[in-house]
Amino acid sequence: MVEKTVTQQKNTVSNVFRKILQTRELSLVVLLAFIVIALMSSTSTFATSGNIRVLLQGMSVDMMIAIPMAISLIAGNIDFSVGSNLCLSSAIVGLSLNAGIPAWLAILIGLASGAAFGTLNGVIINKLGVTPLVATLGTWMAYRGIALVVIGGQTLGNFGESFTIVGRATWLGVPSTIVYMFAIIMVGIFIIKYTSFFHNAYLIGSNKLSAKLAGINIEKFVYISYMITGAVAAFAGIVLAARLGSSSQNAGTQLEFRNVVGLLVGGISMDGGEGKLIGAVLGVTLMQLINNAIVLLYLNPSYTQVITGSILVLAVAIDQLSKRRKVAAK
Amino acid sequence: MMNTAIRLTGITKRFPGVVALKNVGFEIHSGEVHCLVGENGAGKSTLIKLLAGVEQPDEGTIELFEKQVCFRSPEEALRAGVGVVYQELSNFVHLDVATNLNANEFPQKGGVIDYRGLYRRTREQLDDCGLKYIHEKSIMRELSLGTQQMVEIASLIGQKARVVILDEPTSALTEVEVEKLYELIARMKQQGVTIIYISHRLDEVLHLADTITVLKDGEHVITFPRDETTTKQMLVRFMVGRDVEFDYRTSQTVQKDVLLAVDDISSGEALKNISFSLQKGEILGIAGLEGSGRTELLETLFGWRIATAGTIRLEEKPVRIHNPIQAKKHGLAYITKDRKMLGLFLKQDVKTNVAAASEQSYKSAGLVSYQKIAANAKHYVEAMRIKCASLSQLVMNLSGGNQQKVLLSMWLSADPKILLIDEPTRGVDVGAKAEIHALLRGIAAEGKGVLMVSSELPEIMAACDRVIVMFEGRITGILDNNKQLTEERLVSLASGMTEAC
Repeated sequence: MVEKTVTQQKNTVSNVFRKILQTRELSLVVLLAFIVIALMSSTSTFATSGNIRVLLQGMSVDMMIAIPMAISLIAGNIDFSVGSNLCLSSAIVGLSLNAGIPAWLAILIGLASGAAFGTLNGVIINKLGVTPLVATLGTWMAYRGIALVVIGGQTLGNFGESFTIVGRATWLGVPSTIVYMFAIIMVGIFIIKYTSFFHNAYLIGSNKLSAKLAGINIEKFVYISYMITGAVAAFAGIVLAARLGSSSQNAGTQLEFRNVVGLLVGGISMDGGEGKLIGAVLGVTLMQLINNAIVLLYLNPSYTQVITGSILVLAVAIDQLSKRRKVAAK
Repeated sequence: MMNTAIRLTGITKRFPGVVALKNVGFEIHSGEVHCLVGENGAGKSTLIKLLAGVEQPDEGTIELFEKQVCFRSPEEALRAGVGVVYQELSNFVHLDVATNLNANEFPQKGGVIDYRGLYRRTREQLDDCGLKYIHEKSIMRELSLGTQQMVEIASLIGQKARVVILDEPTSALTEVEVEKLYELIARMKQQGVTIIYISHRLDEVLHLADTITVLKDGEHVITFPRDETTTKQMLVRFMVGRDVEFDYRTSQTVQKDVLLAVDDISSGEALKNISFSLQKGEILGIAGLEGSGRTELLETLFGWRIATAGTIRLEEKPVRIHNPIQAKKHGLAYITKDRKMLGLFLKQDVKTNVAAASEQSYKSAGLVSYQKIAANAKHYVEAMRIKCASLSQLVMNLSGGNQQKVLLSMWLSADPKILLIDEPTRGVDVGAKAEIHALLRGIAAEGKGVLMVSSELPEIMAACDRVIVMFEGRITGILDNNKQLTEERLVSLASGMTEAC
């Protein structure tokens, strides 16, 4: 008799579990909540406003760039060059500032550079017929290489308050970087849902040929989505340089990898056509939280990559398995 | 004194919704060229699949050299000596000829691949087949289609195949390559190989065949030896002659105004000097055999394919259409015959698919309005009787007929003036077929024009006001749908025979 009740209980629990796991975003929220609670109970430092601020500020650069990357990836186009773009654009801004150019102009130059570097990706993909992966791997290397040549190992600094205010201001007590991050998230979610141009990303990612046949201008989408990703990368680089007060050749290293992992964990498939922007946000947050946890729990930071890699494989595997079951059940 | 290479008895094969082969039985003699003819859907491909081990018969027996066999896989069939060269070649395009010929068995020396031996052996294999002009180190991809085919055939010979099945081998070959193929076939015959040859080209059949088998609607019509008295007319008469099933109001919606005028359109080798016109309210059918250029014609009109010559006029105005975006702007819609790969978005739901070609229409204050998208989808689901669990059901989970209706809805939502549609009822069950035909007639009744490619002659004859027949990229006839429009006439024109008028 007791066994029956236990089995019945097990059934409802596993049913609820299954329902939650079926929505990627929901399961991520559950996982995040779990980690937050675990951290709150095991450390005294997690739930402090100081740590939260550090956490949010630390993820702001990654998160801002992850949004346009997600939109591109939903359309089936990956962008690996963002970290290098960030570095090179911020180097250009740094050099401009040091050359005496007023802050507002230097920022504009930086944004324009970022947009141009992004658009170059689009040109390589559209006009040379190179796949996005190869194209952006190429620019990933090239842009960082140019940054090295241009900065040559120095760390640029001495930027002046008219520039650093961009990264250090606070709006109603909230650091500006966090405000920018939320603004970009909101704008991103809005445009992919409510503008037909960006909403087409789902169609382009689902089936490029069908999208072409339906009269969707894929070339235009490629140009614009890569241009925006480049501009946002530059913006993030500018904000970072402003906050730190310096610009170095190491800015943005590994950023593209972290973001791709975050996007995949968040449910955006490499093939395109599926995933939600909120999932990307949750995925990137999760990866940052894990980093934060490793620090707070005094774990060996070398484990970060092991854990990141394992979570990536797990997340994608769970997704693939649930897809296989859906097809079989039909 | 002839041995029987293959004997089929009582072969029946069913697929969901259709009986592909019904009680088919005949014999193929050893060492002969046995041609298999029949219209699209007659059952030829299914028969090949059974012989090649890709499928197994539901009823009946297959005997290979007097021994009953049942191949569970193509490998088993190959081991028993039966091989197929398909229309869509299945070789390793990135690798060289030698690898393709010896993929199963690389010569080894001391546990390691012996490359010199490989190339030597390949050279011998190629020379044995008379293929002296093919170099063993050439990469397959760089060879022409015809040469790739030769290599595949040589591979079968190398594997000691006793029965070689060729499925429409010459549909994509140049004349020179065709001659080489015939030489190779003659050589194989000399070596005692039995050849089963499927072809739509009746001239070819008369030239090559020792024996001819005709299939029709999955049934065996006749098997007879070819001699001087065999004519194309005979073959055509065996291939057709069934009851027409559909019966719609043809010629009742046609208006006088010319909607589309095509002048001398050519596109490379696929289309040559195509000229015709489409009137408002008309359903114009395009008939022809596989490879005749029908799909290429639709693709060129839609800008999916480049026209190398000729002009198109829409309502008297000349237009240039170089891509689907321009085509859409000019009011054209194109429903391909490969709805899953080229047309639908399988991973997306019904309402997203229906709205895909007309995104500009679902806006509220400049922003995407999901209400309007859902309302539009609901309208079409009801109007076309699309069976789906909800508007949010993924299109990949719908049946073929319903998928076709979704694709139709996608383009009707774009309010086109001209609908180009390729095989409108392929893979669609009988009930949905009739519905789709009624829908097309309804579209024509609104004053639009429909250009319909179809391989199903009953469909062409029932649903179209006029019919264009194509053969090898040219138009061989434009016929009105009246009492003189017979299936025989269509098949003759489709086989390249021009009419003595």
